[in-house]
Order: sequence, then structure tokens, then C-alpha cells
Amino acid sequence: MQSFLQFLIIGLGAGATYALFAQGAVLVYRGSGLVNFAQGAIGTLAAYVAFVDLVDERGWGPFPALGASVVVAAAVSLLFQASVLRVLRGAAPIVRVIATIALVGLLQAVVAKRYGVANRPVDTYLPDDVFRWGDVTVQEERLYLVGITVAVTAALWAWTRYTRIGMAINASAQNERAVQTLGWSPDRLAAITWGLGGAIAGLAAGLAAPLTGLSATTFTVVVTVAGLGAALLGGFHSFPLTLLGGLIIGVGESMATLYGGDVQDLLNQDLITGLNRLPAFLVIFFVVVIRGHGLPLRSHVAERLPRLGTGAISVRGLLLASALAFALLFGVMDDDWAQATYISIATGIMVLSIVVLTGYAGQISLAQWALAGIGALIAGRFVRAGVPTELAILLGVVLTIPVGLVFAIPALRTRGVNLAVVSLGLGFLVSEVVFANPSYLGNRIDGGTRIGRIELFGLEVDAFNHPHAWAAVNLICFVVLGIAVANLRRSRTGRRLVAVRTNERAAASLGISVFGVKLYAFSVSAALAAVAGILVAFRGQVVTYTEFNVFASINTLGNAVIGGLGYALGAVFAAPNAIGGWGTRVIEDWIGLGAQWDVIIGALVVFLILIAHQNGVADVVVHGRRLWERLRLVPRPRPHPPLPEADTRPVAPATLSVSGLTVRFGAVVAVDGVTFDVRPGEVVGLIGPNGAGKTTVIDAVTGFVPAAAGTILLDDRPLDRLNATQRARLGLRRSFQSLELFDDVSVEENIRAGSDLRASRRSWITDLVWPGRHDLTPTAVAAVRRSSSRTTSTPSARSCPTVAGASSASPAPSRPARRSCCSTNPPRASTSARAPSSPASSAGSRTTAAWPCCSSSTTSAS
Amino acid sequence: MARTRLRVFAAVCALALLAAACGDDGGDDTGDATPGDTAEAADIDYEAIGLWDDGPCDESLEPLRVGLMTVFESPVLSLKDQADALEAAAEAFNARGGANGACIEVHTCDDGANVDQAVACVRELDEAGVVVTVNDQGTAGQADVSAAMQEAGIPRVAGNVVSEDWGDPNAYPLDASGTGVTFLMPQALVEQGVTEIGLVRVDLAAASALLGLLGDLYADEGVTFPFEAPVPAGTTDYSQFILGAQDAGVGGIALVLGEQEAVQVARAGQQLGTDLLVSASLGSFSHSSVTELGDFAEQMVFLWSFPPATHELPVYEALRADLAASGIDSLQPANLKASPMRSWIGLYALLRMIRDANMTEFTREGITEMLRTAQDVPMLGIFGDEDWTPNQDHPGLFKRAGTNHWQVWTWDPDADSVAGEGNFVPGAAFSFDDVLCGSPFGAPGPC
Repeated sequence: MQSFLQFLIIGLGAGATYALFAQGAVLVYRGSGLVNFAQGAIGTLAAYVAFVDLVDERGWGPFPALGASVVVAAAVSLLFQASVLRVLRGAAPIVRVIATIALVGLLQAVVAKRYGVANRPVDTYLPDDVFRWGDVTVQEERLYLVGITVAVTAALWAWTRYTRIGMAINASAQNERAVQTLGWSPDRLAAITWGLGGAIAGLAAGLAAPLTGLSATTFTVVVTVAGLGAALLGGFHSFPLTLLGGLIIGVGESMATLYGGDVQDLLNQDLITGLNRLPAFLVIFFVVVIRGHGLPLRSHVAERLPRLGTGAISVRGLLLASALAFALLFGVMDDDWAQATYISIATGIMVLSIVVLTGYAGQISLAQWALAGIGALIAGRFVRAGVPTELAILLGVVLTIPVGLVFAIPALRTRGVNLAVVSLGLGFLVSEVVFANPSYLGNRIDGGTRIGRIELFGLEVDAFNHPHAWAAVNLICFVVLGIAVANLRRSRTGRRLVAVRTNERAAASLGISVFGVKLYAFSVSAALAAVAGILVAFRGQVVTYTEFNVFASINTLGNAVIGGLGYALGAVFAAPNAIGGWGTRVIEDWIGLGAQWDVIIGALVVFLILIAHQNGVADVVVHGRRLWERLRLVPRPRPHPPLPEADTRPVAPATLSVSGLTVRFGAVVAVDGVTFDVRPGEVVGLIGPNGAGKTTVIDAVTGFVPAAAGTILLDDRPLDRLNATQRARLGLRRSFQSLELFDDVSVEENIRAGSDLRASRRSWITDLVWPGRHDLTPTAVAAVRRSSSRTTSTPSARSCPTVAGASSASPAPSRPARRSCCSTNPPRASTSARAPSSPASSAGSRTTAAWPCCSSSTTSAS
Repeated sequence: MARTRLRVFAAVCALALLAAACGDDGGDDTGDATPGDTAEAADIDYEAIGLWDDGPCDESLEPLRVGLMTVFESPVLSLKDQADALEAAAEAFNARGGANGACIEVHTCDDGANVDQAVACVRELDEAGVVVTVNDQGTAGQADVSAAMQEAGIPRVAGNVVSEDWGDPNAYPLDASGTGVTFLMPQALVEQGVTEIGLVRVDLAAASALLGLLGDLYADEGVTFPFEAPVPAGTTDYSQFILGAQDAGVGGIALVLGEQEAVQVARAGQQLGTDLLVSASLGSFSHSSVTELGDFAEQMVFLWSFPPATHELPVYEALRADLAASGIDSLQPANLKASPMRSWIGLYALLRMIRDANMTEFTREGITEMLRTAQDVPMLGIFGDEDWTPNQDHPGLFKRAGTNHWQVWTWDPDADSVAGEGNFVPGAAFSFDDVLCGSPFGAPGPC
């Protein structure tokens, strides 16, 4: 018991440090909706200034220096907000997150350049007496730390709850415009938030420095490993829960130190590593899974992502660029540049995996390099076991896919920042549990997996003796995989990914399996990551795993954004930024600057690109097509081929019957015993004031919220146990009050997304190789004909592709009928309006596709 | 708007570049040498202490090109002082005749603890015409580095051997270096009567297996390891390792850690006033860093194959003077740790062999042949009574373990030293082969 108490106290001390860093991050998130990865780095710089420049060099006392740390951190944070984030105010959230990641790189490099990277001890300055209660030792310093953290938490809680400015900051995160109308300046509120968040970082770093010493990376690790986890447990909103989260993580770690040996014995294992990270991660994981939802709630606002490319490939441009790359590699580059080439290209392949996962499917993972390491480990173990290298690589890639599916589990229940933080934890866990355990790696003494020198198809290609050959292997992989990723974008599978990226609810309403799409995206992305990992790992005779860490994942995500997250071509522009890649060579060989300058200049270039063009370099290149067209490197746009005549046939009639439908949200009965039928040829209106439950009825009928009671039949088939996707596939589809479109793609692609249902399961694979061969269904042809000429800027115009997309698929074989529902809250004194009869319907189409608008909640049937 | 953005961006760039450019690179820590701390070079009778002074080297002769690659700075391990020490030693030996009259030219390379940079370093040393390396210490991609050095025919003298090097005939270490410390550190505690030992180690895969290996090695002596804890990156509370070990009922802990982490754990022990004995490496602790631990230093035992810089050994007068003359803080006697000392010792041993072999043309093949045939190179008491035979293979797993001599050192706060109050006091000495004999790693018994 005394041991338990002892480690509880130790854990509370460490947890208080985590919580203090986390509170700054939570405050920034509440004020700006942005996860600030630079919280630790800002604190680091401030603490160095305080304890090295002021205490060591100028003889300041530690408490004035602590004050200086707070001021410096606040100033750095404010400067960043004013100079970068204010300019990026309208940018996609991920772009702004990448700006904070670039700030991490910049500040760490500046610290390393100015102070060195070696850890510097800092003398304790808080009272450091040691109390002993029996066998339990308590350090006074830790008590102060816990006390200060509790005080800061209480102050933040009270400030945001009871002061006008605090409440305005909360409101600003929800709706900037609304706050503006109340007379608050969003810029001013953001400045206050960032300044205060920075000050807390300076305070946390100043207090923690005597415990940890100072190094360029320590506090960034603290924030990334534990701080963000604590913030997540507080929902990035609640200061008290964040404090609790920090304490849970701290106590979990210390208990792992105490009971690690017992757990090892219990599981009868010689060696288990990473136990200290496990409790915290499990808590985060289960909280996220329990709190999460399979489909986002109606209130969920999807995070905008950078612009998508079309996936079009210029064969001539591709051939020319590939030939040029090979010519430069073998004709011009020396060994150092060949080495930079394979480093860059492996990163480029990892960027391709991020393009698929984040760019196309909208799922953020900060564990991509951990997956890459798993691929390398599997392939390496096979090589070590004597399996031919080529086969081992293939097995490594294929067997990483199931691991990718495990990584996808959180994505099935959560999204956005929560997903990013959980994936971060997952990445750490893999690093510590798998990569730090030599039992898994193949040799207990090597600390890695010995594979010897690599030969492929009888050719010596090992990176050390044949850097050009290894670079060529990388280049070939990059070109092939780049084509596959571009193909994917143009395919029906790609449209499914984009639909999920843009709006999960709308995608589900079209019969797209959101779970299936997410799992697919993680699978493809895992396979690509495994290729990158194997190319990185197999350049040496012993595969080591220190490179497969979350910080590499974060950096590569940053590279992907500046290259162009929505473009396969973005990987080309992201690749040179890899540390040790072409960018480093240019800075070191051509400009003549040494260590750290590549990071500093790289970070400044990231800022420049983000400020100048937030959709990435590839977007600039693609949209500057005229030059390429003149050079004949890309084809001039051709007019679309004429659409075929629609083969319209009558729809087999079906009746939607809703009986005694009841929906409850906790104790609130939102819908109580609603009964109605929609017979063939009818349009049924639901009329009522705001809050009457109209949309909830549609949500329940289409499977977006569970019904507490009642039955829903399509003809005689009960739908109650089917999810939204299954109902849509049977022909029951909906549009949305807010006219949800997939805004990232064209009108035609919106409609295609709804008509791609006929795709076979095989298309998940074949689309990577042979996309764009999927004819529109006859109803989709009709829908495109009506919609493609219209703009999507006005609500009425936007309704056309929305409804067209909902009704453009061929019915499922077993259920030929199709129902489309749309719901709009009418004005207060509303009347029901019958939707104009559908031209497609009147022409004998099988669905009620493509009516011009819905002006009230209607349920219609053809 | 565009102009505003540009202006703002320009301001950020200017600030960032200014902040970085104002930096001191963290390693350019040249300070004033502290005269009086050590003997002036002019006062030293080199011949009497086993060295020589033939006057300045001849710059017209083809130089002896010596290389060193290691990680200069990282959050865990910063070994730039090894490179600085080699340059300082070369300068000093050049002033006394260099390598049989030829000057010594030093090429150093920072591998950044990165495989790609390590590979680039090998290429760099190869292209620079380096004929031998002294005190190189690989921290990444060592399998490739060792193989490449072997293929390039560049012999490695006095290197810090890692697992890749144990069977490498191209490696000629002076001692078992870091691995020796790791495996023998419990022995230092055993010599103090401690048999229940806690292990606080680096959080690396290669170190994860250490507990099992040490358990096997010390089982016969009745030593147990009831506590083991890795120190992960981002650790905020080092006292947990001390308290955890206390809770497990151990009598002492072995710190198998990089310098910075080891110092933090020792400071936590100092703050808690623990009764535990703490065993650490002289590669991590200098006279000044031990002094800062106050009374707690008396609870520490230190281990290394040769004495600390402040020990009174005749040849150390020259060593201290040569390194201190560089003016670099970390090479002053008070701050000098064992790992940079090995640069001086390794260069001395190499030059001694070159002198004895009358070598005037320096090729990789020639140096390699010399190393293969050299016997009992006089080590002037640095390794106890032991001299050094570079090509000697040890029985068991650790073939290239160099000399056998290892010694425990304790701290006496009242002893005087060239660096001020307090000094290290020699304790038990033991043989690497003897400790390992009968274990899975050493010669088969009976021992």
C-alpha cells in the first residue's frame, strides 16, 4: 500500500506537469479551434532564455527568470498568431495545424543552434525539502507544482465561465461571425488566447525545467506524448477534466514503473516494453471510442481540407519527368546526391500514403511512420528467416494491411483532432511496445533486424555500395505508386473516399459504406506506408526502428500539406523537404550552411508556402496549366463526350410505411409515435416549427438516429435493424436540409458518387490500376443532363445535384424501388409545398431524380 | 494584403534568422584555460614519463591522416569533445614531432546519430584519404559503417566498440568501452557488497535485453536485479527511478544511461537523500559534475578501464596539459570525462607503434599490418600494469575487447586534485575476462 501511495504521489507530480502544458493547449483550442503542437517548443525557447541567458549569463534570480519565461513565451506565441495565423485565418484547419508544426521545427532548430542540443541541468529553485510519512517520500517541490497547476486550472475555468471576455472566446471558437456582431474583434480574442496560452507554456516549462533539465526536444515530447492526451481526455474543452486527464496519465505511467515487473511475470513474458505508455493510451482510446459516433452528429461541422486534384495523368509529362530523373541520377549525381535522392523519394512515397488517407479520405493519422516500421519489421523478419527478399517485401506490404485496419478502429468512431491525437498515441505505443522490444526484432543484442546487404532479382542494390541503384529502385516504386494513387482519385473508389472526406452523413445517405471506405483508405495507406518503411529500412544491413516515430509522421504530414495534400503530384514537391534529402543537400552543398540551417530554412519555406498558397505547391502547378499546355506537357482540356441517351424504364412501385416511430435523446422524447405512409407517386410533406422533430423523423427513417420504438417498412421489408448505408442500398435515400454537396468535386462527380453503387468489390483493387471505365447508370445520365449546366452557388441550384446524387443509382437488385427524402426547416409560418413533379419521373425514369428544389420537408415516392 | 503578408513574413524570417545566427552553435565552448590547474607543457619531462619531444613536425612530409566519426550532439549523447580532444592531441603531438616527423592531420565527421549521415561520414573520411580512425564511436548504422571501413581498409583504433564490432578484425579497441561499462557496472556494486541491484537504462531496443543478459552473467555470484526501468524521452520526474529502486529493496542501482540522463538521476538521488549506492560511468561524470552532487557523491561508485583525468599518473600530466591547451571548457581537467581522454590515449598508442615500427609512409595497408603485428604497446600505467596488444582476441562473445583492466573509483571530498577539492580514489580492479568467464559471454569455465 505504501508503494502504491508513493507512486501515486510521483504520478501526480508528473501528471501536474502534463496538465499544465495541456491547459495552454486547451485554451488555444477553445479560442481558435486549433491544436497547437508548438506549445512545448514555445515553452522550451522561453525556458532557455530564462535559465541560460538570464540566470546563467546575467545572474538573474530564478523567480524573475520564471517571470521572464512567461513573458517570452507569451510574446513568441503572440508573434506567431499575428504574423502567421492571422494571415491563415481562412485556411483549412489542417493548414493551420501544419503551421504550428513548422513552428516546432523552427523553434527547436533555433534553440539547437543557439544553445546546443545537449541537455542542460537547471538548479531547483522551488523549496525542495523532502517529507517522509512512514516509507512514503514526498518532495515539497512536487506539491508546489500540483498546487500551481490546480490554481491555474481553477483560474482558467473561472475566467472562461464568468468573465465576458472568457465567454466571448468560447463563443468565438463556435462562431466567429456571431461574436463579431456582438462587437468583439476575433483577431483580438485570438491574440488574447494565444498570448495567454503561450504564457502558460512559459510557466509550465519554467517550472518543469529543474525536473527535466533543458533540451531542445524535451517539452515537445512532453506535450506530444502526454499533454495532448490529457487535453483529449478533457475534450479539448474542459479545464478540470484536462487536469484530471493529466493526472491519470502521470499516475498511469508511474504505476507502470511500479508494477511493470509484476505484469511481465503475470503474462509470463521475458520482456515487455512500453508499459508506461500503455495505461494512458488505453484510457484515451476507450474514452474516444465510447464518446465517439459511427456517423457524426448533425451538429458536427466537417473540417475543410485543402483542395483536391483531379487525378489526371499527363503521360507525356510523366515520361519526360521520369526520364529526366533517371538521367540526373545516373548522369549527374554523386553518391551524396544519390543518397539524398533515396531519402527524398522514400518520404515521397509516405506522402502518397498521406494523400490517400488524409487528402482523399479525410482521415488524419499521425502514426504513418509507425505503420511503415511495422512493414519494415515484417519484411525484415522474413528476410532474416531466409525468405527471398522480393517475396519478403511483398509479404511485408500485404501483412501491414491488417495492422492498418487496426489503426483504423479509432477512425470508425471519431474524427478530426480526436483522431489525430489517438493516432499519435498509437504511434507512440508501437514505437515503445514493438520497436523497443528486441524480442520482436530478431536479435536481442543487435537491437534491430539483421538483413544483410540487399539484392533484388539478382542485382546488387544495397544503398551503401550502390546508392544510385537503390535510388533507382526507390524512383521506380515512386512512379508506379504515384500512378496508382492518381488512378485511385479518378475512379469510383476515389469518389467514395472523397464523399466520406467531405461529408460522412451525406455519403452514408447515398449508400456508401463509411466504415468500408475508411477501412479501405487505411488499408491502401498502410500498404503505401509499408513500402516507404521498407525502402527506408532496407538501406542498411540492420533494420533499426528509431526513425519510425511519431515526429517523423508529423513532419511528413507537414510536407504533404506543402506539397499539396489533395494531389498525387504533391508528393513530388513534398519529397525534397525530407531531412537529409535534396533540400538539405542544396542548403549544405550549394548555399554552404551547416547543421540545423536546413530545418530553419525549411520551416520558413513552409510558412511562405502556407501563406502564399494554402493548397500546396502542386495546386499552383496544376492551376498554372496554360504554360504546361503550351509546352504540350499536359493535354489541352477536351470537351466532355456527349452523354449517352438515358435508358429509362419504369420503377417497380413500393410503399414506405412508418408506424409508431419514437425517437428519444436521453430523457427527451424528440419524436413520439409518428405514423405515415408514402405510396408510389406521392409526395408527403412534414410541416412544423423549428424543433418539432421533422429532421429527426427523416434521420430515424433513413437510419441516421436509432428509433426507440416503431416500425419502418419498405413494402413489407422491415428496415429497423439496418444502418443508413444498408437502407440507402435498398433504395431509401435522402438529401439534407443544408443541401450537403461534396464541394471538393464537380457536379458530375457528385452525381457519380451516388450512382457508383454497382461497383463490384473487385473495383477496390482494380481502380488502382484501371480507373475511369465506369459508365453512369441511366438515371445518373439523366441527372447529369439536368444538373451539370447549373452552378452550385445558390441554394436552389445546389439542391439539383444533391437530389440528383441521391437518386442516381440503379436500385439494388432485390428492391427496385427508390425513395428520396429531403428535409428543410420552413419559415415559422410555414406551409407545405409540393415539389414539382420530376422531369425524370414524368419521363418514366425509375427514380424521382433531379427536381429543382425542395422548399419544405418532403418525402416522396415515384 | 499581399504586401502585408510579405512584410509580416519578412519580419518572421528576419527574427528567426537573427535568433539562430546569434547562436554559439552550442559547441563552440572555448573558454580560458585555467593555468595552475595543470602543469605547463614546458615543465614536463616527456621522456621521463614515457613520451617524446622531437620538436615540431615537418609540414613538407606527407601527413598521417587520422579520422574520427561520432555523434557530436544529441539530446542523449553529445560526443563532440572526443573530436575536440583528438584535434587537441594531434596539435600537441605535432609540436613534439608528430608521427616520426610527419604532421598528423585530423578529419572529424558528425554522424548525427543518423544512418545516412554515418554512411556519408565514411565516404567523407575515405575521400579525405584517412588511413586510420581513432576513438570513433558509431551510434547509427554501425553494421554498415563497420563493413564499409573494413572494405575501405581503414583500420579503427581505440574505438568505442558496439555489438557490430565484437568480431570485426578491423577493430582494434583499447578496451571494451561502453559495452564493458554496461556489463561490468554491476561488478562495481558487487565489489561494494551489493548483491540486489536495480538497473536504470536507456530506452533503446538494444538495451531492453540487458536485464536478461546481466541476470545470466551475474547469476553465479548470487546477484539479482529486482528492479529495472527505462528512462523514456520526455521524462519529467527522475526521482521515480530512485524511489522505484528503493521500493524494490535493492542496495544499489546501475545507471546505464547517457551522460545527461545519468546526471539527472543522480541529482534526484541527491535531492531525495537516498541510501542507495549508485554506480555510474566515468564517461558520464567529470570531477566538476561529481563535485556538484555534494555529499551524495560519496554514495557513488564509478567505473572505467583507465583512471579519471584528475588522478595522479605521470603520463596524465602531458594528457591534461595537451587537452587543456585547446582552451575548450570540456577539455579542462575539472570537466574532462573519460571518453575524450581516449582520443589522446588512442593517438598516443598509435604514434607509439608508428615510432616503434619506424614507419614514415602512412598507408591503410601499412597501418593495418602494423596493428596486426604489434605486441605489448607500453601503456604507461594507464591500464594498470597491462600493456596493449591490438590484435588480441578474447575468448567468448566479446572478442575485440582490448585490455582487460577495469577499476572501481569512489569519491573522497577531502582529497586534493589538480582540479580543486575532492578527488576520485581507486578501488577494486578486476579483469574483463575474469568477470565474464563461465558466463554465456565469456570463456567457458573452469575459470
